[in-house]
Amino acid sequence: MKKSYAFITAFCLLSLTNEAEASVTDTAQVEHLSLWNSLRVSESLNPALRSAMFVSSLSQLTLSMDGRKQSEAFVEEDGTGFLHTLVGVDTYLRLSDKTAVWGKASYTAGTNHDVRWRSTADYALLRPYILADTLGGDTKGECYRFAGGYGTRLGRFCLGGEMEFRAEQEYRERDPRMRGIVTDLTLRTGCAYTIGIYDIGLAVETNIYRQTNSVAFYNEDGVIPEYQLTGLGSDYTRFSGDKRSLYHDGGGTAIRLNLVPHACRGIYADLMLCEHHYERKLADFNAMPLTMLTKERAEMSLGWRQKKGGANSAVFSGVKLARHVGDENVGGEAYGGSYPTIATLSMYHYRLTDAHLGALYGRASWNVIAVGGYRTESEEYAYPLRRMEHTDAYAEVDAQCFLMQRRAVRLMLDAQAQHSTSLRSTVTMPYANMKPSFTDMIRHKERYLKADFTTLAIHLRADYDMPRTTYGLYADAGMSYTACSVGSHQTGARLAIGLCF
Amino acid sequence: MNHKILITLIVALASLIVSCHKEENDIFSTAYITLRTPDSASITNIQAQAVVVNVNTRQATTSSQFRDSRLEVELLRGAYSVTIEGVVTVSDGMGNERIRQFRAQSDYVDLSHKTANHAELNILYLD
Repeated sequence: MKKSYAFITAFCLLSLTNEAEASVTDTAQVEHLSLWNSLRVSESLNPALRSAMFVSSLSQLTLSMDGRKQSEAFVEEDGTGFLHTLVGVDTYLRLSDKTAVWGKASYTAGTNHDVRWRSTADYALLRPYILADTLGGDTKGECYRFAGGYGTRLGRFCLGGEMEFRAEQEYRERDPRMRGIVTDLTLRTGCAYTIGIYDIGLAVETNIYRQTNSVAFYNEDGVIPEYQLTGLGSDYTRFSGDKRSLYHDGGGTAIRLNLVPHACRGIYADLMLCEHHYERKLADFNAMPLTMLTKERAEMSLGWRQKKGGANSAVFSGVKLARHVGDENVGGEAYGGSYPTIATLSMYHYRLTDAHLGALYGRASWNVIAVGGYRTESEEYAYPLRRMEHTDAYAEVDAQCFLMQRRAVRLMLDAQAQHSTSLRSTVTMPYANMKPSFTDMIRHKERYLKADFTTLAIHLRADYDMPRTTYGLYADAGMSYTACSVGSHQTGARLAIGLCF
Repeated sequence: MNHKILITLIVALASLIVSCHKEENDIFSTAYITLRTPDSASITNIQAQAVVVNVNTRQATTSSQFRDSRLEVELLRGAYSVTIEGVVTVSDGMGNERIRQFRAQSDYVDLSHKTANHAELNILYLD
């Protein structure tokens, strides 16, 4: 009996897919939401090439709720989950066959649950040089994002420019009352030149970043130390404790080269190099610089892709290399309300190597992409020596299908499966000389460093074109489940409704 | 010609991006801390323990590696407070020797240089 149900279900799905394949028109949704675009992420970051990425225009006004809950925090600094509400508009307008403009504006508000060991916003960007305490708690946040770009073709040249701006604050309404106020501006300019069937692109990006960070205690009896973390459970002890106001100033430059076949068939390649610096300064003592984090990254990818006879196919490979160096400034003897820097020592090092191979195959109405890779990460603090290294292998399969393209309600179904397994991990720590709370924090990191993760996710989107208008409505729902080999798990859900025009 | 300019520009930009940061990996240095007597007496022998505390990290290093009146110790470059306590044999130059208890202390000693980290401390007799 069960076999018959499975057969009927499979037959119905196949029928829908076949119908869609036969009747699919290259709607804006299919063009803009297709998994095919995951091959073109680097290209989309050159504004000149982005102006030629899509034939159709698509604008979406979205209201969404996104939530995540972990049974135990995978990363304590990220908390055990979040619930965020977003309202935003995202548009790509083709003004002519040569020119396009695009833009984005959004407002996000929400709560992050049970954040520990972090009193600074933007942990992923600034780690390990953050302010932290042992207590933590829920934080609230709001974020405004604006972006806009323009690109046009002038003969064999394409030129484009883009700007992105983010203003964000994260805060806590009970002690310890952390607050991080972020402004982040990115300017990007690019050009491309057509030689034969290829566009050769060059883009340059510059970024300016600032965060004003502080922690306040309203209960005078409940003040706990705020640590100036310097990586892997170490802290800048002299300025830890009651120095709770900081600035994080940073920014950097990136350069990106692209080789893109503009006829949807051929070899594609890109190379990206970037360097960013983030300086942590005390708000007191004449803005004394405590640490400087330098992040260097190189990304290369090479692939071949084609869209021919209704079939999509691609094979690709990529390498990511990252190196972070943390310099600590040694403060000298206090003089006139400030501490001179008497030496600078490179104490923290982080390295990442990630190499992957992948392939995509599909038709106009469906695509399947599979990626397999190998990643090795190492973190080291020079003295007393602390080191964490791990090597993972990972695999990911993502299948996407556009259903019932000629009906009033069109569907997009996306299913993902990911698995990463730890091949090797080593930890060297001076546990005997560490504070118990820091030992607990490092032991938690160590457990998850050695863990395997498996994720299953499904995502369904329904589009409805309103009769006799150019407007459409859409609803989007997604769910994900991640199992971790240490025994914890994560569930995620996303709901969105919106207007397309 | 245009191609040459473009390639030169790309190479220059890439070089600029990847060559900006210089690491400072010489983090250790040898410090030489010399004890000085308050009078003209010379130190002939010393038995003492030095506690050298990094002002920034609060890490303490103890050493009793004295050679004549000089302590030699490998340290993380930085600012330190130094406390030395023990006994010293001093000679007045007339052949008279005396064993005395002493203490030497400084709240701030700059030992941040890559080489030539020399510091002098005055000893205080306790007897």
